Amino acid sequence: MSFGEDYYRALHRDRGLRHSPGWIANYPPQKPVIDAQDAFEISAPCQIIANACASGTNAIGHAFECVSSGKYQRVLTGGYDALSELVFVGFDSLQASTPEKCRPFDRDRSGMVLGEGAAILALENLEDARARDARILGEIIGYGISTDNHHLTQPDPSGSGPRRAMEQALHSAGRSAEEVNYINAHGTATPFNDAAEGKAIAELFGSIPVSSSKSMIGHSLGAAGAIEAVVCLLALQAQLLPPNINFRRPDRDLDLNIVANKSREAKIDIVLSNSFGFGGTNASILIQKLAA
Amino acid sequence: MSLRIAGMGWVTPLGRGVDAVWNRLLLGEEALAQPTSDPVSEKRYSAFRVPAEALTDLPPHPRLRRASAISRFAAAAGIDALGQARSAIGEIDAERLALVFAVSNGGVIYTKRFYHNIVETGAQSASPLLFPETVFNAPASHLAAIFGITGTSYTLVGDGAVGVLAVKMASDLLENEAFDFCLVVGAEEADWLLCDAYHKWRLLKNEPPIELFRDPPRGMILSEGAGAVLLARQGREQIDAIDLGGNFSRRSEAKKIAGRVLHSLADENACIVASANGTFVDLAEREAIERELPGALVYSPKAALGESVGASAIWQVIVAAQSLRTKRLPPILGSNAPQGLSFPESGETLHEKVIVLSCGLNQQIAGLRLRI
Repeated sequence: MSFGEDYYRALHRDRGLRHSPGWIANYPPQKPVIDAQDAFEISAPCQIIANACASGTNAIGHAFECVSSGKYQRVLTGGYDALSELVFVGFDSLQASTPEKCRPFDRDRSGMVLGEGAAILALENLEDARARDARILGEIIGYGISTDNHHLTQPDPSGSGPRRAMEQALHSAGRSAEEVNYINAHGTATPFNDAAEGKAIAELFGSIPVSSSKSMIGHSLGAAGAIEAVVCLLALQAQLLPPNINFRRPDRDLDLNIVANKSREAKIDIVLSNSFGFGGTNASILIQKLAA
Repeated sequence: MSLRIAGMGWVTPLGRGVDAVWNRLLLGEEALAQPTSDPVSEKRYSAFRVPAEALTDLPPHPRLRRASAISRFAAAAGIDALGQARSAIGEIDAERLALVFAVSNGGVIYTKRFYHNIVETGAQSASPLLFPETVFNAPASHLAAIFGITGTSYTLVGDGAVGVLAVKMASDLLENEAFDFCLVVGAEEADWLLCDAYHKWRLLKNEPPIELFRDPPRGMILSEGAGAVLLARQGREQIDAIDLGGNFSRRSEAKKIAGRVLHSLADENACIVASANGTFVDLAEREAIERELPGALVYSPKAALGESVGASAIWQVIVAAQSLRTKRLPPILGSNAPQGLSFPESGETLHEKVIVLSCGLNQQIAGLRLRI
């Protein structure tokens, strides 16, 4: 995005940019992947999912389905995003971002803080990974995707969209809600998202521990799902529930068990990670700790 | 698994409707280039635009009231594809319908307007109405709302080959028994800013005609519109092979990957619907065709319809399906076949299969094969 912004600013400033900078060639969203493939000499085909803030989880979920169907043995998957002026101003114009601290699920939450970054996961068929004695960090066991047609930028207040994604992830894994030990929530700290997501979580999972990593690292949009999947894997390894920092007062309308401000030791076997995005797109993945 | 086409929709600079556009192509018509300008520069370009009358009968859905052009193109094509399928097979259950949307540049017009306001007058003037339409998956969101899809919806971004990747994703989704149909829509809108960018990239020419397979290449004209194919396990045309190809870092590599894709899809009874558009793509495809399928009949719709980037591969799929249905291929306008290539002439073609070869401008190449 920033390449496009530089190009447009130069065009606007110079009233007719004459030279052909790399801005144009570097603008397309698939370019970072193609550059990375070139750098690592990976010739495999790639698909770039652009489902807004759910993209990272959608990418992992689709990769999971590709591997579990037997079509692919190994898939590199993940998400990336970088801060840009257009996006920063865009979320500000929607009054979705806050100059205060990011307080997911707090009664006084006032919006998101944008972040940036990337995370890549290497998925491999479990039998093949075991056969080559790979160090297995966790197992993706379920994936759910749903579309909420309520509004282009606001979730259905009933939480029906997130709930369907979470239910589908459980169904595809053949697991029940009671078997899940922790939820890494989408938790943007916007009033609308947290209300809808919190309602869906409470209805489906009861008092399960919940936290949002966005309280600590912000909302990295297309990268968020992949980064938060890594957080989930680390939680499974360390047997620690990651905290939801900046949490002061529970929201009276949300009956949630928030991992408030400090990490907690816990026995964690299965975690669920949520990502929701503009366009009403919802995605959830279920990750399991593998027995030693 | 059997992957078949159950319905198609087409919105192009030559109008809307699969049969209507196809008949105009068979008659050798080409789209009318329209001048495009912008206050930011004195430079003018030409682009092939979708005529306004093509969208006059869109349903009064609230999502379309303020949607960008790309969303309206996508909606029209999707509605037509589902309508064609309904007339043949009856109602389609939205719960068993998945959506894959393919795009390259996205909602450029609103994105430019949104950012222009920031550059011109500062962040405080940014419009909260425009910003959501700048997101790549905004058209897919509108389509889902119009068709009542509450399940699977993916937006894929890429270059001209992204439509083939979208068909492949649809093929994967349809292996899930939860779905009976997958609607694949590719769409793009043309804007002065894109013309300027492709011009500076030395890929654009100022005026038609687009001269295909010319060496050295003279450049392309951008166009806009949408294509939609409803994929199912039953239908007339079968997509019997898809090759996701690969990426090229240097243009010189494009011919190797195009050759690899053609090699994997090659069939002596096949003709080729290529993506030649008047740029380096033509030379890459020409070399690949000469090597892998010498003598094969080659057609590209881009001389008549222009380069519609994210929509283009789906347009090629529609051309391929129509050529199988009608046993005809349109003429290639304004170009003579260079040595080593065969262009369609008037009259019937008797091909049983058609290979769609899609070489994007920004590093992606893929292909698929249709049979009837």
